[in-house]
Amino acid sequence: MAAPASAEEKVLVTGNVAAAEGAVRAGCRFYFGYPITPQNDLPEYMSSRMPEVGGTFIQAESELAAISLVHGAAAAGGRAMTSSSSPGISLKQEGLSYLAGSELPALIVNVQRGGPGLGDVRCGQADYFQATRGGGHGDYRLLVLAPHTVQETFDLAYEAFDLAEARRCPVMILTDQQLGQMMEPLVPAPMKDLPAVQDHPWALTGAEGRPRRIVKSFYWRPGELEEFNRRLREKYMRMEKELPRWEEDRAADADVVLVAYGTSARIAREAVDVARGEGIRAGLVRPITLWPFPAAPLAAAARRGARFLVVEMSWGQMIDDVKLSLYGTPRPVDLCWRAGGGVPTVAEVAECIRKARR
Amino acid sequence: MKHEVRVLTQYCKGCQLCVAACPKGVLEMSEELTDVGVRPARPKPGAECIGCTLCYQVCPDAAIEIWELLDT
Amino acid sequence: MKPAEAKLKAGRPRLLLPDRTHYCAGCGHGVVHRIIAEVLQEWGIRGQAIGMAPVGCAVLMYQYLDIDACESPHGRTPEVAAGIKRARPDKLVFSYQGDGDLAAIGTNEIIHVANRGEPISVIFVNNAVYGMTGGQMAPTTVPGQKTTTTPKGRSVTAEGYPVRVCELLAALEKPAYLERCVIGSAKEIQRTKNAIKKSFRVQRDLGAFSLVEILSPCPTYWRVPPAKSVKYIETWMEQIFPPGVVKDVTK
Repeated sequence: MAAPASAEEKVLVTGNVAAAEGAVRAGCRFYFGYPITPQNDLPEYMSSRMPEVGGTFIQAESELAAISLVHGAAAAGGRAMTSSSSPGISLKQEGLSYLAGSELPALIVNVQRGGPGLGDVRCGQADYFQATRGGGHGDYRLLVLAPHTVQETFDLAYEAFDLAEARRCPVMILTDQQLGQMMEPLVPAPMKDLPAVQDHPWALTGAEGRPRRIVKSFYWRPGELEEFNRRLREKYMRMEKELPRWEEDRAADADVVLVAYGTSARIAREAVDVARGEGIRAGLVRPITLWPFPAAPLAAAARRGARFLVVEMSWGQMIDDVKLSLYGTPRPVDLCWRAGGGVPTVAEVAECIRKARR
Repeated sequence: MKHEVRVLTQYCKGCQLCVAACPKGVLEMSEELTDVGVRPARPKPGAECIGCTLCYQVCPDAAIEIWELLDT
Repeated sequence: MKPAEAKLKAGRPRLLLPDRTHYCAGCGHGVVHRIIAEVLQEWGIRGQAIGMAPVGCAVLMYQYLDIDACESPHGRTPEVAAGIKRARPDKLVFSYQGDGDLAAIGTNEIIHVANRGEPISVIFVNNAVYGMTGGQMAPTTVPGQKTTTTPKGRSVTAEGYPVRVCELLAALEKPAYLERCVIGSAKEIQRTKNAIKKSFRVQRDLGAFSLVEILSPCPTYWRVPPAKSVKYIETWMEQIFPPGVVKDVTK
């Protein structure tokens, strides 16, 4: 993407490129990745964009190496990111656990494809559990952001490092094959004025004239690790309270509230149009943060008697969070799903809405 | 120039590498246990250290100091 | 004791913190730690150094050295170090790795970091056994060596031969300096110190990758008294891992 001269300029790019440019304009100067479909235009874009902004691009020998390079650059105070797709994200879980345990900020983009195993390179949303439950070993979470347009992909990437640094935790942008590869108009925000590396109070800068700093997740004296976990839990509980974000569309009076993110949310919105055209009061709650999950709007809808229809490209993962959100107010929760590369059609979702209302 | 070898017993683990390294047989192992159950190295009474620092070099625990005794 | 009448000729470097280490009696890690502390102190570059501790016995290196340090997942050490160096190219970045970290789980990482010529110094402590986990076979365990997972001795038929890391990396274009040293006699230890100095100079002056492999005693899992570990290295290890310069572009 040729960098627009002004913020007024509009460009046509893929979601993958939007994620890359959003990160670059947020001050990301370190990109490390490994090719995997359907996210390859992201590293390809970065391979030319990083040198333009004085940044570093490395095509690593593996996903493990890529996330480890992110670990190092982040520990040194850089805004560092990696991207991949489902099988590659599985490989990064080791690094994500260490990043969370070392309380390092970083950005990880997962352009989901079909699974399990090698799966296929078509659309999927079956990495929801992995993304929202931490994914690696130990107690931690990722802050998971789920855009549904190219513009929103840019916007969330643009904001991700601020969130990651404020909370000292890795942030994942969870998109999917369609969202990553589709092109839409984008009005990019201006480049943030930041140094390539920042002297955070925890960053490794060489201990010149100050006590040493250690970036680590290993606590070996009895009780130390438990105390650290207590502190981590408090941090994540604050995030659960302060960070949930969502968008509502015609949900206030809806008898059937659809819950969907990413590409599924785009389809769900059209299905709501169809249902409304038939006189069915349907609406959409679209989580923008998948962790922390926005339970509040769902609980409110449940209290006024709404039914729920979860639309996702997996045979049922986010539906668990929807059910948990209704705790204490049991309401029917249906699932409209396609998986293994299948994408639900508007007609399929509309039919699910009709069934859900009955 | 006279020298003196001192063993920092709080670091010593009793591995005896210094005893083996000393060309003058200055060091020996103590009979007494430290509070962590180690018999530390110690200079033999009256033995003359030549200040070669070989014991310091091989010590895995940096538990040895070599002092030059200044003429008084 | 006699501050007015005596001068310290040799003693603990200040950068080696006043901690009793967790290493076993006679373990070579303590010597290597002391050497690193001495070099950084002699050169007055405490504030320039960033060290990487591995997973394994040396995971607590950062506990003992008074410098900025980072931990990494097992084997990823050189890549994390490379990430730090890319972000802070003016700092002296070194990774400290054992044989399991570097030559088994991290073989991929060390080869590619070396192949890209990342300007870091790798200090590779090879004691031919897994210490932290209880004496299992390492990729550098020598033929016939008994470990807790090769109770009858390493069989080259079943387990293959030990991996010679310096020779492996010498096949690549970019590594500038590869030397194998020994924690044995005081003379060999001095040579090891010189090699580490050279590795740091190669990083600083040439901006190139270098690695110092150090044959280092593990009396506990070799099941020999510390005083016999020097002989053990000569008899068992040096046959497989001959000490000396394997590659040096500065010559």
